[in-house]
Amino acid sequence: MCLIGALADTFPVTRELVGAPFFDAMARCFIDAEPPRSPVLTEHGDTFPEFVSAFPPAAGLPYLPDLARLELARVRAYHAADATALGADALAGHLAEPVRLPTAA
Amino acid sequence: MTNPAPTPAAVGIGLKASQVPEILREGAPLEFFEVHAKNYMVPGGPYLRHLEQIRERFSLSIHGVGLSIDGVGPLDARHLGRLDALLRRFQPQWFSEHLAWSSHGGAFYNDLLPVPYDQASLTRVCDHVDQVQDRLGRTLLLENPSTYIEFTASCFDEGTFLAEVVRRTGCGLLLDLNNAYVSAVNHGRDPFGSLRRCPAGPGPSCPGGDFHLERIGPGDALRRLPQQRRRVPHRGLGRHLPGHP
Repeated sequence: MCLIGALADTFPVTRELVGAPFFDAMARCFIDAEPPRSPVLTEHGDTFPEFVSAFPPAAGLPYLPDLARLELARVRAYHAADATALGADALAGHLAEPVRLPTAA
Repeated sequence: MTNPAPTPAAVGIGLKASQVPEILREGAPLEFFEVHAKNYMVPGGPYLRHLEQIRERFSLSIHGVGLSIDGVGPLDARHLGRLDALLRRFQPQWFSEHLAWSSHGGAFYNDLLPVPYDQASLTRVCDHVDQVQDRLGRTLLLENPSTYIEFTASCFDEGTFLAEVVRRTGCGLLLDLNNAYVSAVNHGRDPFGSLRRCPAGPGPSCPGGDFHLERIGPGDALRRLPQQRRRVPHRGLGRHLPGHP
């Protein structure tokens, strides 16, 4: 898979929103500026939202970097280390005291 | 070092994530599935869970495209460590990598770039294959690349180069018939002449080697190979056309 295609897989909504020609051109600029440092391409997108936030042609869409961050978080969650799910009782206990809920890292 | 057992003919295909539920539900008349190592270098989640379920019923062939075996710089220790963890977890029957380079100066180009077949390259490839086999404790199968250019610096043909790597390191060969064909056509050579120069398998010229064929088409290409080269018809169904690494 090409590097632009890998980014398109990670950020499909961002791509849909700005259109394929814009996204592909922006991805190409990103790849030139920050080529992958690892063969594991899912890691290449880690800094893409920051790149988008500093990409002048995208300045008219101030919500675009946040959208990219959300998409990155979705992929991270999908591949995240497996954890034991909370049981219903434990969840109910936490929800009874929402002020004590742990904040996301 | 764990050598893959000499295998009788075995047939497998590349695993597609979308096919996993059907394979688990209905089975498949295959001995193994091939997966790309880098797709499974993730902390957790459904990819790894599905691969565990497949591994319970089938052998695996884990194929790497990221080691940059002929890169000028040292091998990526972090990537090797992740490969080691993956191989330990899934215990594949085979592990393969390309004769190519894809990294330079810390950047990864996601392409399998060709190498000159000269003495310096031979020494470098053999050193890297030795390091990989020592680190992973298993035999590496080296895959012939599809190439679009050749180097005037080359002093070996590809088959001779591969045979020498196999002889010196004890690695095996994953012979991708499609790649051999593409390269032969690109460089105006007879594909069957190229194949005849490849190492044939365990023997005086290839101690401890294993030999695998990839992307065998439905035609008669296999029957036209010399008898001893047919030992492990391997990886091929539906994948004999260009378009994958």
